[in-house]
Amino acid sequence: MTSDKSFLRNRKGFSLVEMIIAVAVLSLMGLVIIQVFIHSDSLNRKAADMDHAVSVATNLVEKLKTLPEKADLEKTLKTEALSTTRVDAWSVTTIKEFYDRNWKPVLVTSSQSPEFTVTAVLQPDPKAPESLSDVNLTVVREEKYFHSKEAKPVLFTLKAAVPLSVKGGGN
Amino acid sequence: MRRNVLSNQKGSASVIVILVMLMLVVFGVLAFVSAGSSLRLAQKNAAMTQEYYKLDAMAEQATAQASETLKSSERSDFKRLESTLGKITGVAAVHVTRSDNGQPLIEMRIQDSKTGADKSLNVILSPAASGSGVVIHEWKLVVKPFTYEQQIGL
Repeated sequence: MTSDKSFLRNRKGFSLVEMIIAVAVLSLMGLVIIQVFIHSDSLNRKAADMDHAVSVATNLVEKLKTLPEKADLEKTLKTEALSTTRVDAWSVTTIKEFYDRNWKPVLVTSSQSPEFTVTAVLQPDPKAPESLSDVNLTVVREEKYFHSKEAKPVLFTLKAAVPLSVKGGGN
Repeated sequence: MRRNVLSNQKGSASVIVILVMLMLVVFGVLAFVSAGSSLRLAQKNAAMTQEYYKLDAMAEQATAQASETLKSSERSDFKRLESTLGKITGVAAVHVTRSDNGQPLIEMRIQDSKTGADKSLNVILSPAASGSGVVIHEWKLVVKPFTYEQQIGL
């Protein structure tokens, strides 16, 4: 009890020099540590985005796999930006999907700018052009990550083949 | 002398700073290591998905070519069918047997020569009853048991 009272009455504290040194050291080291925390957060975000990108890409490929062979892609997929380009006798179909930062689908026409773009390019497979299409899928983030050099980092690329005929189906 | 050292409060601010710093550094390192592990796991998942779809694409091509081959007269000559299907790119092994209804039952092992023999896709198919196309009985990814190697690199 007496010791408690003496502790409360004790007017000894830290000197100004001690405080200045302590704050200086803390702020200098704090800067480095905060960078580590921000970098960790960026890595975590990248990992989560990569998992989402894989999920979105496989979802799209599996959706394409279930379509009937001569399906009308524009009507079936209901994506906002679907462009079909015909190169000679072959048709190359591009499917684009847009997502916001929480991986919710975004309409291109809306004011909200998308953070992720999924691009799938379909073209007839050279080995079985009548019945098979090759899919080249890319998931890109429109903004760069903290401490990353890439302006538009590619999160995931996928090459697949789907039993879908896109030959001669262009606009 | 000893009492003097213990009761002397000079430098106690530095001790507190060191303790706080130590705590922040430990939490920072833990967060960084955990984030790095998450990213590595995500990269492995992505690589595995890419490998699967590469094998899947090869299997789709092999199935399309097998379907074309089955339309020809070769379907009754199992040995010839086996040799024709064995020439398809990506087909590592083919085994043709007779099913209960007398139709050929084709078992193919699809393997990517670049990625090695640790992953393969087993496909079992037979000609469709209608005459065109095939019926797929099995489409299974087979991964050989592997030993885990610790790799550090973020």
